[in-house]
Amino acid sequence: MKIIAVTACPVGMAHTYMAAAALKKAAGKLGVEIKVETQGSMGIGDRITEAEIAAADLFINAADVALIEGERFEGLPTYETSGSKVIRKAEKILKEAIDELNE
Amino acid sequence: MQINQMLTTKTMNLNLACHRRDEVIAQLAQCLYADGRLNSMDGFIDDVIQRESVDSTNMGIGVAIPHGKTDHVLRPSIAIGRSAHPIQWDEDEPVHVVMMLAVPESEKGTTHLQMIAKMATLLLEEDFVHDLMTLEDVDQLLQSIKRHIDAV
Repeated sequence: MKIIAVTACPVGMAHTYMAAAALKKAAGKLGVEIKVETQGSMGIGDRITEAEIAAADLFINAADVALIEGERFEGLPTYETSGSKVIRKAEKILKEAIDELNE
Repeated sequence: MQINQMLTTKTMNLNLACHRRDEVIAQLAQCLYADGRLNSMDGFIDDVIQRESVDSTNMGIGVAIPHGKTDHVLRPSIAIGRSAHPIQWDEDEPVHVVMMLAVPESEKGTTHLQMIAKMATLLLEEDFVHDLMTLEDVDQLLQSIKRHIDAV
């Protein structure tokens, strides 16, 4: 299972990075591979590559503002959530996203 | 970038006397203003409350992280407040600790922004939150914060 995700928030200095850290931590616990791109006040961090998009099984959109270059992820199975949800319960969200994909 | 350029014993108050969200925001903004970190206290308070109105920064673990990246901030700063009395932050669970983050709108240096992001991310660590909730004095808490920052 290869997951890619993007986090972003209104100010771009706190939730973007917290949500990214929460997703990585939860993915580690669940034993799934994840790459998280942060779209925040430091610009795009850990940009997801075309190869990673091509190999991805699932895209988690945890951006609370419009995605930058969101067209990159068009056509991928997508799970929509929010930064604050991810920060509060990343593990539950990851499980839900994976379950939804497998349905 | 050293954390102690952003966060000092002057920007911490472990005995907040107020229990309403806007009063807590104002009291922490006052700490930052008195320490020469803001050019407009009222302006910054408005910015922070505006951000809260988009989506509450209550994390659901007894901590809220109000923040602003605006022209009313002179240098990257962090204020920490704590209250033994629950602070009703939103319609969700009340909070006891408030970590307020302030960054100038013009801030381009990633070292400052990285440090701010790091501080926010530390709130995902249970033992760090435990220290925030329980350590008795500001010096002990500063030590804990430095230790956790260095460990990231």
